[in-house]
Amino acid sequence: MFCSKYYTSWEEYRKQHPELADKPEELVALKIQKYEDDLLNFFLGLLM
Amino acid sequence: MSGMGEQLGLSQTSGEGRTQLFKDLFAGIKPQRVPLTNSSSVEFSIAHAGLNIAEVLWDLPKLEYVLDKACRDFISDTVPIGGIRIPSYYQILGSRPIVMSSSGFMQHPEVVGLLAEEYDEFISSPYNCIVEKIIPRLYTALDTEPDKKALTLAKAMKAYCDDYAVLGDIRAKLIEKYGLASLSSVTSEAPFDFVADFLRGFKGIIGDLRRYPGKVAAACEAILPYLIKKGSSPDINNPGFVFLPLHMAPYLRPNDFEKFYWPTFKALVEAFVEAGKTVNLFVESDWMRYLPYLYELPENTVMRFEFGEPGVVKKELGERHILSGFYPATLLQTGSKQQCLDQAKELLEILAPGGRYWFQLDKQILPCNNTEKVANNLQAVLQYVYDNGKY
Repeated sequence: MFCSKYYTSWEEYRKQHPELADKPEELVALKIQKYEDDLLNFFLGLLM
Repeated sequence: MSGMGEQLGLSQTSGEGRTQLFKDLFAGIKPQRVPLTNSSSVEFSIAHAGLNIAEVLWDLPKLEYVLDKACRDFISDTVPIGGIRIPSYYQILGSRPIVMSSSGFMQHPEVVGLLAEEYDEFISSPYNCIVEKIIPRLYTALDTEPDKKALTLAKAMKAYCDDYAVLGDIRAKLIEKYGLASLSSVTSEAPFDFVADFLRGFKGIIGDLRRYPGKVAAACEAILPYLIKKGSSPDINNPGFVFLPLHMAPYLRPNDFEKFYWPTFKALVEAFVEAGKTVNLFVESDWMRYLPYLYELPENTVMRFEFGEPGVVKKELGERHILSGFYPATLLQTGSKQQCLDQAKELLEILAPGGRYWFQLDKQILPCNNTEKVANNLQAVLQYVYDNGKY
């Protein structure tokens, strides 16, 4: 979604972590993406 | 002022009823009465409770007593907690843009996080530039070796999460105890304001409009998707809103506003509304010359005005948008009780007819050397609006 080496979408993350293939994707994706977004929002919040 | 809650009739509207007021308001439906908010800053409420600002901000559980007292003493449909800056994580990060003053108030001195020669880098990848250049420049404890930087950031995030969890608990308790409306909110910012405020600074951005106009416009475009993301939290319930404090437009020439500020600001608001969110603007300073632009924003955008002519704004925007503000917070300090009530009466008469009106002051009340007088006038004004704002 964003052109940055510091932001990884769930789709990119999943490709980089094949060990997650048999895990409940909807739950894992929710959590992994949440913390990615939380950090992005934290940095943006520091600049507001 | 203790015990005022009962005479204020705080139980006269249930939490569900109060929440419904805002559901109706944000949908453009005339609510049962004019919704109202106690516009005290947290710092004012701390002073009103007789406590030390720094002590409470560093020990947030004490805020429960402060806000409980505010709920008892001042009628409000919402939890009286507006913008709050918590010092813990700013301190850990070695913050330059947000610092605590000797009185405990969190201040924002002018800073420059992005150098003019770094515009291209920012435009190419805003997040890379934020992480690598801007954040370490403004948050000095992150301008260090990688291992230490990682540990500092972990501490700051932990402090941030802990403190906001405390705030969330306090807020939930007060909503339950006083039957307040449950409003959720998330903050984002107009792209031009984002580039101006912490990145280029007031002086820098004004000069950039002449020296690098194309880069300013490109920087606003580049950061737009991030600011949409920032305001797109799935945690906003109904009723809830995306809060956008607007800063720079009144300081721009109309041509510059139209070219640099308006396009990405409009796109931002439209993106939130398309996603089903209510947008709540703090229209800071005087936007009278930009009313035709504000009219163009999606219907039922909330606009809290600081300055301007309420009658003109009601006429120009009142049938399309939701209006708020205008009541001068300074009057509570300088005016008599009767003058304060007269002002409330005048604004109710102008802005309340037909609905689409939320009573808030023009800005947050800050701590002052006349807390008692301000508190007494505020209490009288809120009670007046409550008693006379029924439709």
